[in-house]
Amino acid sequence: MQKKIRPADPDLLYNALIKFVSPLKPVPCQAVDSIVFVRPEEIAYITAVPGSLDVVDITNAHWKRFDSVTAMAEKFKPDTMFFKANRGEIINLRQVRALFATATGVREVSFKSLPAGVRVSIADSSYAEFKKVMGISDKADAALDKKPRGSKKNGKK
Amino acid sequence: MAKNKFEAGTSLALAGPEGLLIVQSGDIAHAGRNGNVADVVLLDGTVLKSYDSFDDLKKTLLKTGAFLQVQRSMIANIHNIKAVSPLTGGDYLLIFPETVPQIELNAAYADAVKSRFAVKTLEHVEPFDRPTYWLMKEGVRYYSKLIYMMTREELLKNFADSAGNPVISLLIANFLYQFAINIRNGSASPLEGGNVRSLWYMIKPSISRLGALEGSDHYKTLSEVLARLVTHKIVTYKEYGLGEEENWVIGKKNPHIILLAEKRSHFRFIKGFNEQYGVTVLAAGGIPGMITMEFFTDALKKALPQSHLKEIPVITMTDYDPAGDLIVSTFLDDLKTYNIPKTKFIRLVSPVNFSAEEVEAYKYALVGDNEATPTMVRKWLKKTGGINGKAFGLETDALMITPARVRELFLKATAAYLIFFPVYISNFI
Repeated sequence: MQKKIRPADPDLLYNALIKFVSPLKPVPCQAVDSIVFVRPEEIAYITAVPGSLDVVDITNAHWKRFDSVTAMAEKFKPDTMFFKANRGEIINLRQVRALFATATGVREVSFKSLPAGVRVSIADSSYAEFKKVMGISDKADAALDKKPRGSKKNGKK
Repeated sequence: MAKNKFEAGTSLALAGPEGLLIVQSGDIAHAGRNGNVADVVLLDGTVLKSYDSFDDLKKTLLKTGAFLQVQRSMIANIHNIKAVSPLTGGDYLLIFPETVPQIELNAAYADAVKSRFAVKTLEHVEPFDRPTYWLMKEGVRYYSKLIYMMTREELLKNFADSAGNPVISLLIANFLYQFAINIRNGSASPLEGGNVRSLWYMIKPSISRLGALEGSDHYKTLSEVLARLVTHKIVTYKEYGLGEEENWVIGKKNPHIILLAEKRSHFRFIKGFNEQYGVTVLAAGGIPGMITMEFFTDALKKALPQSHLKEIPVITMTDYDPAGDLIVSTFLDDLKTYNIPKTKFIRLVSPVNFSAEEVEAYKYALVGDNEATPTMVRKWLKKTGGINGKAFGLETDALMITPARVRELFLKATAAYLIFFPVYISNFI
């Protein structure tokens, strides 16, 4: 029998490659009656919720950890594609789809496989580094429909 | 990139329905001995037979670095394990993608799996939190189907012991947790204004289907399981929308002083202290229920300035006997559960607050008392000294005969804690 030829799906190949080169082990998360191992490449973002952390995977499933955000960021340090976006959230830069600026000037990212409404804000203090690692030029940054905080819509009279 | 080479795996020739199939080792979930060959389970659930013996296949697959031995005659691809669930006796259940049958990890091979996942234990994540620990202790699991909609067969499958007998406390714990989770995620509504009985009526038909309504008081079982889940901070009475009969009032001026009465009939009397001195009062009616404690402490914490959390005086009007002692200790423990840890207990009903003549007149023998076992009486006697070293108690009502004395003792006990002192009190003392 002939070997089955698989179509070359670039996303699949990319994910497979990431799986092989990722320096991180699957992240054990607590479900009610089991430990669920979430692969780092399948994590979209990690967010602090009261009493725990939610590890949100690319299917938008939420898994529990009980570390602090700082401790979790430390664990993810070997993989530079995990980025502490703000005090309470770490994002997987590989899963970032788009960058937005809200009406109040807050920068937010959406994720490739998550609903468009799921967004994480990038703190002002982290934005310069985010821009750098994501290769966002000043020109691209300026193109964002960004209104500085506190600016008035009809300020000029 | 040695790591990549290892994880890239290898190709295998397996016996498919139409002939020889080439399979990548990464697509294998697990493989086990079947006679002279092996059954190989792929990620899509297909089961193929090997041409080679299980031992030869095992040798080849273990070399890839992705496979580990999980039983004497079974190996699993560590990269395809989605979850691990503890079983009894140190064994575990290995969970793969949905299409793949789950297999057991024998305790003897658990260390290698732990090492590969870089975890110290497969029981729970680390760090761990107490509510999740208690959830596991209660045997609470995830069920996609509503528990109260399950058929008798489904209930028996999920909530029976090894002999096939239904475990009602397990069923109730899972029902309570599932209902709370559904309320939290919006797929169920709270029972606004309901009470614990409302929860009971939801699960009663399921218990009836199991033929377990007779013989035991399972409403009591539900109340106890619910109180346990609340104590371990897994659920709250509030989130179920349950209400309670308020037999307490939070003080406005001195909320940090708690006057606790054992009997509900004393509520009107202690309410007078709330109105006059602005202290917090609670008529427990025996051991205060967890639902009362949840609502009471919730309101108390909102009224309490943080600085007062250092010491909360609890003035008690409870009987001087083992039952009264139990009420106070349970109340103080429950305060701790709800993060009001530093309390100072001041007893008003005590022989020292009566004359010798009064003690003789009011004392009653604890022997044969229905409310306390001989062991409880013995322990209480050792702790308090009883009355002149004998097993005698005093009822709260003995003090209530003279309300002015209650007031006097209350003011004496709270003098160091009362922030607002009415002007005329100095004359009173």
